[in-house]
Amino acid sequence: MRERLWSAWCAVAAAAYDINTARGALSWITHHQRNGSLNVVQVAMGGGGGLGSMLQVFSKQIVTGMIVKGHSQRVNSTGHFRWYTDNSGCGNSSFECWFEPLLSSPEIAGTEYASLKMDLPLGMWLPPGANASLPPFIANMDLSLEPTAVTASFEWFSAAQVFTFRPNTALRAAVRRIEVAFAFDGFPDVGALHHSPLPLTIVSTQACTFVGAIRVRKVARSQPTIFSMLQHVNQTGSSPGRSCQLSLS
Amino acid sequence: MTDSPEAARQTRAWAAKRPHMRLVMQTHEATWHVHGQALAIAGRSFSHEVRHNETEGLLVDLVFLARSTIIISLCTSQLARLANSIGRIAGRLETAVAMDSKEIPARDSWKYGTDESWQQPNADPAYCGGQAT
Repeated sequence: MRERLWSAWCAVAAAAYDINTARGALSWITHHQRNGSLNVVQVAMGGGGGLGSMLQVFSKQIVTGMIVKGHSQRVNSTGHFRWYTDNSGCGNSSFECWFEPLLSSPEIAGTEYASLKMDLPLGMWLPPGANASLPPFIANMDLSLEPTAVTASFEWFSAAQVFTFRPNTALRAAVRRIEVAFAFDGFPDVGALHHSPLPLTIVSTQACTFVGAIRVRKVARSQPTIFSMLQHVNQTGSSPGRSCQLSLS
Repeated sequence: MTDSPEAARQTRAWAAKRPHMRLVMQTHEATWHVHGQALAIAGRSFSHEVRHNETEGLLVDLVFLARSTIIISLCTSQLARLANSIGRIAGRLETAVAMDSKEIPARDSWKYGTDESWQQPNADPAYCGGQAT
């Protein structure tokens, strides 16, 4: 019964997500943070459990800090993500030890509204040629409403997380070192996170490359997804060609 | 990608039997015994060098994961949710499958929304085994 309810919930959730709203929210956050005419409030880092939890809590705080009833303001970071930023390698920096600054440099702030052009770190996430212009329904947000009426959606949460997680030059260089060391050209890959109590088995290893603990590379976008492969493997146990297949056995 | 010591152990054992596979494990030995929130707490005792290296390895893995077209989350963590968020907006992520049925509908208004577009596996979803994530 619970599984059926969960399946139904997933179907509803998948249909509810609006990529245009999410990208519009990301654009709004980006350009809002550049508006040098707005006040800046400090948002404390470090709330939450592990690093993923702290990044999510911090992202939520960014949204709630930016939009208050009747007006908006810029946000900046203060404090630490515990030892993840509080270490000698980070020196005196904290958030900016790993990520791009939340506030743009003064010479940019307040001057870029017309172009609405994304910075390189955001271009790292957005597809080539993605237009960062603000959809009218976001550009004309009614800030006189309660903030939750404006931003209480996964699209806004996810946009804030993307804005937060903009790797800085040093982190991008670390990524590039791994790419070079392991010839990671032709991404995208396929990933999986966290512990399985059962052994993870690669049914066909011809097209698979492991990265991290349990990450598998997909060779071509035309291949069937792992989602369907799991069903195939579990039903037949056979190997259709060069597909990269996972099975939990 | 994982910060789970058990996943790391399993993967090393798995890879040791498969020399044709390329395994990249960035997790430092000092952190093998803890993960998640426990790791965040235990890290206070790490040397500053380990702290920095561990964080870099974790964030680099997260960058790679966020570029994925498909995410299969065995025990869906907040790192997985971050990768989902980035992948959705980037337009690269085609499918996010959560293999653990109990975590996904969970709500935390300070961490994630209620409509993250995870999909249910069409195999037995009970892979997480009830482990807290």
